Parts: sequence; structure tokens; C-alpha cells
Amino acid sequence: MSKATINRLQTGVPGLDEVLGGGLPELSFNILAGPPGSGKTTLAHQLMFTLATPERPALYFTVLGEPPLKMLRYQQQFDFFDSKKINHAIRFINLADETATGDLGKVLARIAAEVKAHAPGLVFVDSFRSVILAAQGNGNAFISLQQFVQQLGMLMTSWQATTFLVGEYFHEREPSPIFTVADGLIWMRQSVQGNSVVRKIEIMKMRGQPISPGLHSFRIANAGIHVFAPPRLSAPGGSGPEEPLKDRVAMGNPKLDEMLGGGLPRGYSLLIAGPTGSGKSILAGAFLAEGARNGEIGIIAAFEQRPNRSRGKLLADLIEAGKIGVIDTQAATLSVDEISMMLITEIKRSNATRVVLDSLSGFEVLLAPTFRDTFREALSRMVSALAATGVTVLMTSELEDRYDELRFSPYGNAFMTDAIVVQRYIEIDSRLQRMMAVVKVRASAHSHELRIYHIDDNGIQIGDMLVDQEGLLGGRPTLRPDAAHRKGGGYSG
Amino acid sequence: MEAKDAAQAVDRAVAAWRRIDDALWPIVGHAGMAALFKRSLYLARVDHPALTPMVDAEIAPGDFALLREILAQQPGAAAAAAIQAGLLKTFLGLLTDLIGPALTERLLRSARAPPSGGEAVQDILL
Repeated sequence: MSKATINRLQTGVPGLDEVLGGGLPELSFNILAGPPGSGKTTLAHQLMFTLATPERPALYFTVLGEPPLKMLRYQQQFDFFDSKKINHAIRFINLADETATGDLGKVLARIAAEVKAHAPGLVFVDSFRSVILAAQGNGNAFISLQQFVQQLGMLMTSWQATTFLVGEYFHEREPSPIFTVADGLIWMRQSVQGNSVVRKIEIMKMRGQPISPGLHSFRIANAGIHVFAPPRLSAPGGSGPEEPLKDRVAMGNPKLDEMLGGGLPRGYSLLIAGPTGSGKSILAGAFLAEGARNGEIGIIAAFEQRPNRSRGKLLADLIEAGKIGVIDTQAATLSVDEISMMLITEIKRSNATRVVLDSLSGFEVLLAPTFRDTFREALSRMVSALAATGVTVLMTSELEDRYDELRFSPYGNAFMTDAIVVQRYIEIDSRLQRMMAVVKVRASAHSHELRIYHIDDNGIQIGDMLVDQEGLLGGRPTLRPDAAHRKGGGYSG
Repeated sequence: MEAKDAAQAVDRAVAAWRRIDDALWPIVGHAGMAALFKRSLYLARVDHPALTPMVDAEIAPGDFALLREILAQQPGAAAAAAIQAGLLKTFLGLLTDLIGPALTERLLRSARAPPSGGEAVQDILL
């Protein structure tokens, strides 16, 4: 026996279809809930303007709540609002008169009459709270709210309309009979922490759909709502664990390539950890410039306090020439998923093969406070998602020099990268020197040497291994006794 | 002849308001439409004092009897048409301020006097 086919409507809201598990089931009965100002009416309008066509017309019932003229005044500011659809594919109908009677039967009868008259494929009731309050206020409701919702659900399903009840106040902790009737429950909210406000959406229920659980951040801009779905973690296409090792990318520093065992395996993620001023950004710049020299496109997401800080002439020229794309990271309420989506979109658009995140420390500072608790998990997701696109990733991480322990990242994220380069300051002969080492290159041989380096106008110049010093990781190395002896017995005596 | 013209002008004016009401109340509600109309009367009365009695009058939604009465009292078709034009212009201006010209035109498309041509809403309604 063949099963009923559930068509999934593509909502046109970026990211929402992914979160919904592939789109919105046609003929479903949905609730859009959340506090005032959380974006419910905007989401409803965006869905409606995307989905409504002359063949699948929409009815938008406005109840008491927001005056329709006000709603139209503000909603038309969005790009999706198309006046030409109004009174054609989209019809607004005000139910204030019926609602004011407090008789839900009358409200239902009017909805039924309009549905019969216009045979809509989409029905919106905004806001549903007004219906409830009006019914409670008057005390003479002839049918109960639950009956109302059940009858409305039945009516809409038989009339083959995908329906949305836009509701204001439902408490998520108190399961309401309305939620039982609904096929879909979409919750929208705002999280406020300090001066930062982050909008979040949660699909609490969507019958028959593999939804993406949990809270997803979204933004409301001129184009409407944009949901930031967590990046998909698909396996990297075709490249087995052995394959990347043959194909290596040059870092723009031959000595470092040598230390890495012949360059960084393509598709790997590399973490460069070091204290401030150790030249992490210089290495990152060299990595992108080397890519550009080989005809590769790069992307940089620079999380700096000062966006206009000079990135050096070479990098600036490459950005100008379109060889390196820049991700705007200046939004005040950034989430990791949002940056992931921006990066992946840009990678796909420009066919980029090299990505730089400089630095994770700056990223954490720019992040909206509400996301900081989950930074590590989200970062791990992002690295996996970037890896899945096949790009080679270089991340930098600010690391305070601690000479009593060997750490590579304050986030404990060293485990998630394929390769690690650590930089440190050391004192030799009363001078501050810099030293670098390759700590890890997954599944590959690499140098274990601690190499001294300095920075000049041409970038990072890596020198030799400090064979005659020991205790380098402690920050204050000493001459090895045999070396001291060779130096003329300075320590003897 | 003069009286007949005047009567026709009044009929046209009231018919235009009925069409506007029919086009708008389903969308903004009877109360919403009544509020817009009242505000228009209040603003238009400055140039057309004949409308003053309507400003404070209790008018049921969709009831244009008092407007008909006031227009009919005017000395001739031209005077009635001038008041109607002033009131309509105020009303359309108010709606346009609120929801913009494109949407105003869209919502009032069905309020055009038959036969409708390619003219602007305001010309047709007059």
C-alpha cells in the first residue's frame, strides 16, 4: 500500500528549511509562539510572501492585537513584502469585530466563511492570544478554546490549508492542549545579556520531520529573517585519511613547510598558538599570500577590535584584487554558527581553498555573551564543517606565555585541529627571542625541533634549532654543559 | 438641471465612500476604518468648515448619511464636489502616510469607480 505523500514547502527563509528538517510540511497546523517583539509576525509575513501564489493564495487574519495598518506599515519595509500580491495572492482579513464579542464560535464561523470564499492554501491567524483573551474577558464563550483550536485544525486540514497560529504568550513549560493539536510548534525568543540581544528560534515540534533540535540564532534585517542553522557535518567528499597527506599546501614559509613535513596536508586545520606579538597574523597572511601566488582564493575572518587596522600592503592588495575575501565580523551579536554560515557561503561562492580565522581569542570577545558558554562546542562544529568543504584552515590563538605548563589553546580546542604550531618567547643572553615548534601534524611525520625565529620586513625568518640550549619551554633556557664547555669554559670555575 | 447635477455629485461622493469602506474594513476592521475617516474629517474641517458637525457626531461604521446630508446642503454641485475632493484628499494622504502609496493604491484598487481606466486612484474616486 502506498503512503500519503507529505510535500515540504520551501519557506524561503534562509536557514529555516534546514532547521525544519527539509522544509515545512504542507497542510500542517502550526503555532508560532514567543514574546512580543520576537519576530513572529515578521516570520509569518516572510513565509506568506514567499509561499503565496495565485494558485496557493493566503489569508492573513488579524485579530485584536496590533492594528493592521501599523502591521502593514512596518512589514512593507522588508524586501520580501510585495504590494502586488495584496488582494491578489494575499488577502488580509480583520476579525476584530467577531473577537470583540468574546464568542469564539463567531470567530470560527467568520474564518470558515472566508476560507470557503477564498479557498486559501495558507492561513495565518495573528495573534492568537487576542482570541484567547477576548474569550476569557467576556466569560460567555460558547465553545472552549480547546474546542476552537480543534475545530479550526480540522477545518483547515479539510480545506487543505497550511495554517499558522501566531501566539504571544504560551508558556513553554506548561503544555497546553493547543500544542497537542498542533503539528508544528516554532518558538521564537530574545535572549538579553548585558547590552547584547540575541534572537533565537527553536522548532519544538514538527510532526514527521527530522528537525534540528535546540536553539538557533537568527537575525532580522531588511531582507527579513535569516536563521543560522548549525553547519552540516557531512563527511569530506572522497578524501580518505591517507589521501590528503600526498597533497600538501605551502605555508608561504619554506622553513615552516619543512618543519611540517613538506607543507600542511591539504584540507587540514592548523592552530597557531602564541603570545601577543609573536607573529601569528604574519604567518596567517603569508599562508593566504602563498595561496594567491598559486592562483588559490583565500578568505580571512579577522576578529579584531579595530576593523581598519592595516593588514599589511600585500594582503590589502590581494583583498583589493579579489584574491582574498573578507568576512565582516563587526556585528555586535555574533554567533559561531553565523560565522560558519558566512564562511561556508563565501567558500562556495568564491571556490576558496584557504581560510584564516585570526584570532579565536578576538572571536570570543566579539561573540554575544550568550554564546560564550558554548564556544568550544560551536567552534568544534565549525572546524568540522569547514573541513567538510575541503578547505585548508589556519586559526590563530592568543596564548599567554606560561612557563610552568605547556598549553596550546585557552579553549582546550587543540584536540579538534589536525596540526598545531606553538610560538613562545624565551630569554637568551638577556634578549627576548622567539621560538616556534610544530607540536602535531595528524598522521604525518614532522619536525620536533624548537626553532628560533625573528620577524623582519619580509616576514618570519626561521633559524636553526637551538642545539646548545636546554629548558627552552621553561622560557629561561640554559646552555647545555657540553656547549658551555665548548664556548671556552665560561661556566667553569 | 443645476439641482440634478448637485444630487448626482452627492450620490457619486457617497458611492465613492461606500466603495472605500468596502475595500478597507475587511482589512483594517470597522473600527479601523471609522478611526481613519474621523481623523480625515477632523483635518479636512479646517478648509471645509461644513464638515465640522460630523467631527463630533456619533457615526456608525459605514454610515455616510450625515455626509450625504451635509453635501446636499451645499449651494450647488461644485461646492459639494469641492468638499468631497478635500475630504478624499485628506483621507488618501493619511492612508498614504501610514502605508505608502503603493499599498494604498493596491488596497483601494477595488474602490475605483466603474469603468476604471489607468488613472490614479484619486482621479477615479473623484
